[in-house]
Amino acid sequence: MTALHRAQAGDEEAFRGLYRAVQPGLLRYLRALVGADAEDVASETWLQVARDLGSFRGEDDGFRGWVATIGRHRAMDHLRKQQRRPSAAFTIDDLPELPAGDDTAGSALDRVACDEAIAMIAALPRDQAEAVLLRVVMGLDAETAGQVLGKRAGAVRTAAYRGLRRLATRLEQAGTRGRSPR
Amino acid sequence: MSIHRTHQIDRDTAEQLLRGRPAGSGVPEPLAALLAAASAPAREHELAGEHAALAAFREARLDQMAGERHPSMTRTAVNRLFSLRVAVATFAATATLGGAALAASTGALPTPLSPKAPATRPAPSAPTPSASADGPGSQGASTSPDGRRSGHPSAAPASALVGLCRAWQAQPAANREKALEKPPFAPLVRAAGGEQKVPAYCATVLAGAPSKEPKKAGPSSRPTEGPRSAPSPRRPEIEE
Repeated sequence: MTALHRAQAGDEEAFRGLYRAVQPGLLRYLRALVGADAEDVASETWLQVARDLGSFRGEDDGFRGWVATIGRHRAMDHLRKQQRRPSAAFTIDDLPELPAGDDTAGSALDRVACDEAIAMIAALPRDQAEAVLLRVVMGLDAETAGQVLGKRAGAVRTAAYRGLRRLATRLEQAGTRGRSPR
Repeated sequence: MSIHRTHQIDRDTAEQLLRGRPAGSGVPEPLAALLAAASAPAREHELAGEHAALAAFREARLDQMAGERHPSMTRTAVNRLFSLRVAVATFAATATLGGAALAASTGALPTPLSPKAPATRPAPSAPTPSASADGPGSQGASTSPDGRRSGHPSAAPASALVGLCRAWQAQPAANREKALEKPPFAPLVRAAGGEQKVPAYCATVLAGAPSKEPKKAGPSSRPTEGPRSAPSPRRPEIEE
């Protein structure tokens, strides 16, 4: 019995495993759609996943696509609601200190590298950004990514390839501007 | 500047990259490193909502078990009752035409324990009342990603601003203004105090940021160590 089936049968540890496997990718994908509100939207997504888990039909690949679809809809809802709310004032004094002692230099740089990579992908045209992220961080194949986006697999493949080429070009330009690519 | 070399990454190579396979010699190193960083294994702060997700799972489970014993006592049963009323009206309308049997056989009459349609479409219902009473969702969200965020839901850790500044600088000049309109860059714009102030702000931020060179020394640094051959599967293994 797969973890998915066990979770559907009520196995809490199996559900925890699903969460740990899928949440990091979901969060990074949502980051591109809603930025800093990704955590909130991810929470709403898992609420719905937990509630509707029993009626999901499919296997692991389909499950990730299902979670991505729910996340995307939640993100769109969130963006619609946000348009009616003025954003709160926010100054540099609201920022906490840079992580100090307990965060090793290695892991702090890892976090920057990951966040930076996601931001760079997110800066692509939206269809390219989503295609790349659904493939790379959510681990979906082109068909499943197409279902999430409501597109044909071929269109998703093309968007992802264009995104990669554009990223490669931008990275190279950044490198030749005298700034180390690393 | 002179003509820049556009990377003719062919579709096969692109497909390998997207699947997380180690790329061949045709792949520019920075791109491979970027994709490796994007798909790096989970960091602790990304799992901060686990507690809330498990709480939601337990509650949904209890709800389901209660529904199996006392269909009348659950929220979803009430929802179905509402749709049942609509179906009864339809039934009444068709009964006189002898269509009742037809309606039943085509599944127009919902039964109390009929499964809901798979939620591949957005669920119109808002978060359930008891979920918001406990606040598992909001608790999970405000248990900040790295434990250091302020209570403000959209506060950005300073280290994230470093990353955002670098990502912004990596954009071609013509694209920079437009890039700031994308959601991930919103915290940067707020921190800088406006889109016009981002260049000066980032110059300051990056002057004080740790340089990327020490990455080679750290044992936990993975993303730039050559092609993506990281041991952890990029496609998360749900099977056990």
